[in-house]
Amino acid sequence: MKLILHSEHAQDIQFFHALAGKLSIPFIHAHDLDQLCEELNQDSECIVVIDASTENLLKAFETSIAENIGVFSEKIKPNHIFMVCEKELHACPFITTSELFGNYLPRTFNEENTALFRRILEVSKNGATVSQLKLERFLEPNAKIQNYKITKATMKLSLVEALKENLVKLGFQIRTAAVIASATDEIIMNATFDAPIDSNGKHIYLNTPRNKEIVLPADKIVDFNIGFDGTTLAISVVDYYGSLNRKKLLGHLSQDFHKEEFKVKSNVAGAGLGMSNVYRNSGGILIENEFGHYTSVTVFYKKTASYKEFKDQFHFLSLHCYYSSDA
Amino acid sequence: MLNIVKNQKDDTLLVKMSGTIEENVDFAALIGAPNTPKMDIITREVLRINSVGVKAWIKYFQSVATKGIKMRFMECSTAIVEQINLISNFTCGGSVESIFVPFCCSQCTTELLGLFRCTDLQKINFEIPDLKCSKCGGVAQFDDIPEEYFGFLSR
Repeated sequence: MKLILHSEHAQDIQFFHALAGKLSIPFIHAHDLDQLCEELNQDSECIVVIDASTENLLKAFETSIAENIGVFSEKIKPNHIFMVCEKELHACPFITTSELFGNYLPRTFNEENTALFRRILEVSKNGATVSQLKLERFLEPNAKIQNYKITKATMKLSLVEALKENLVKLGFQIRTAAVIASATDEIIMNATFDAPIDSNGKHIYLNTPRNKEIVLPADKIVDFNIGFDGTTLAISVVDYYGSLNRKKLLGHLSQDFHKEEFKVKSNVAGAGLGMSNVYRNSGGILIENEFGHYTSVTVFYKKTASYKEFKDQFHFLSLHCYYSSDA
Repeated sequence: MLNIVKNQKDDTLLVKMSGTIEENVDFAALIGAPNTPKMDIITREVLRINSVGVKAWIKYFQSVATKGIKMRFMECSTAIVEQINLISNFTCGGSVESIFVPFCCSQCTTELLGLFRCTDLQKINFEIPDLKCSKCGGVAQFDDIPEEYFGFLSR
C-alpha cells in the first residue's frame, strides 16, 4: 500500500509525508492527475489524499478518475480517499455530494493529530468487520473502555446523564461534558429510532415520536462504548441493521442553518439536526457501515483545559461503507 | 426533564425554564397558549437541548409568534446561545435581551458565567473584559470564540 498525495500545499506535503513514514508505507507526491491515475491503475490499494480546496480542483480529480479508471471501478475505493480543504464542511457542499467522498479533513492538522490520524488511516487501509469494531483501535493501550448494551430506547436519557457526570469527574469542563452528552444523545437516538428497518428495507420508526418506548430485538441490541486514554475520549454506538443512507447523512452534515431557516417537518419524528451538531462540536467522526450488517458511529474528543480549545480542536469526517458479498 | 415556572406580571407572561429540553418535553402542555401580549422566557438553567428538543422549541415558539405575542429571551444559558447561533430562526422572531457568557480561570480552570445584556455587548464591540475568579482570585477569561458566540448579534 502507498500514500499518494495530490496537493501543492506545503502543509499537506509535510504532514502526509511524515504520516506515511509512521505507517511505514511509501509516500508518493503526484504532481499531476495523470500520475495519480497511473499509480492507482498499478496498485488500487492506495490511500489517496487530494487538495479539494475548490470545486474546480475536486471536479478535475473526479473527471480524471472517470476518464482514466472509472468512478465505479473496483480500483476506486472512496474509503481510501481523503479530501483536504480550508473551509468547514457546510461551506463546501461540493465535497459531500461527490461520489468519491470517503473522508474530509480541514487543513488545520498538526503534529498533535498524528497519533489518532495514523489509526484512522490504518482503519481505512484494513477495513472492519463486526468483531473488529472496537475502540481499542483508536486509543492508547492504557485506555479504559466500558461497554453498555442498549435494549430499550428509554435507556438513553439515564446513560447520557450518567456519562455527563462521569466526564466531569474525569476532569472535563461542565460545558464540554454537556456537549459530549448531547452528541451521545443524538447518536443513540439515531441507532434506536432511525436505524431499524423491516425485511423490505423500510424504516420502521421514522414517524414514531422520539419519547416512545422501543424494545430492540435480541439480535439488534445497540452497543454503546466509551473509552478514554487520558487525552482522547472516544464514544461509539453500533447498531446491527446497517441501514445507513449515505446521501441522506451527508446532506444533513452539510446543512447550514445560519443561512436557511429550520423548517419543522411534521411528517417525520426526527429533526434532521443531530449529526451536524455532533460533527460541529467533535474532534472527528468515523462512521462505518456494512450494508445489512452494522452501522458504527465513533466520535472523538480531545480533553482540553478550556472550552475554546475544545471548540478549536481538529476535526475530521470519515464515512466508510462496505458491501459484503451476501448483503 | 424540563421544569417550568410561570408568572404573570401585568401584560407579560414570565416563563422560567430549568433542566434539559429533549423528546419528553411538550411545551404546549407545560406552558400552554399564552393569553398575554408579551412573553419573557428565561433559560439560565437550561443545561442541554437535543435536536428533537430544538424542533419542539421552534414549533412551539413559532405558534406563539403567529399569535402576535412579543417574545423576549433573557438570561440565555450557553446551551441556548449555541442554538441561537446555529439556527437563524431559533428565536422565532423574538429578541434576545441578555445572555450568559462563559469564562475560564487561567489559574484554577474553574468555569464561570457572566450575565451581559446584548446591547452592552454591542457597545463594547464584544471585547469581553476579564473577570476575577470567585474561587482563587485569578484571572478568568472569556472562554469561547467571539465570532461564533456573539455571531447572532451581527446578523
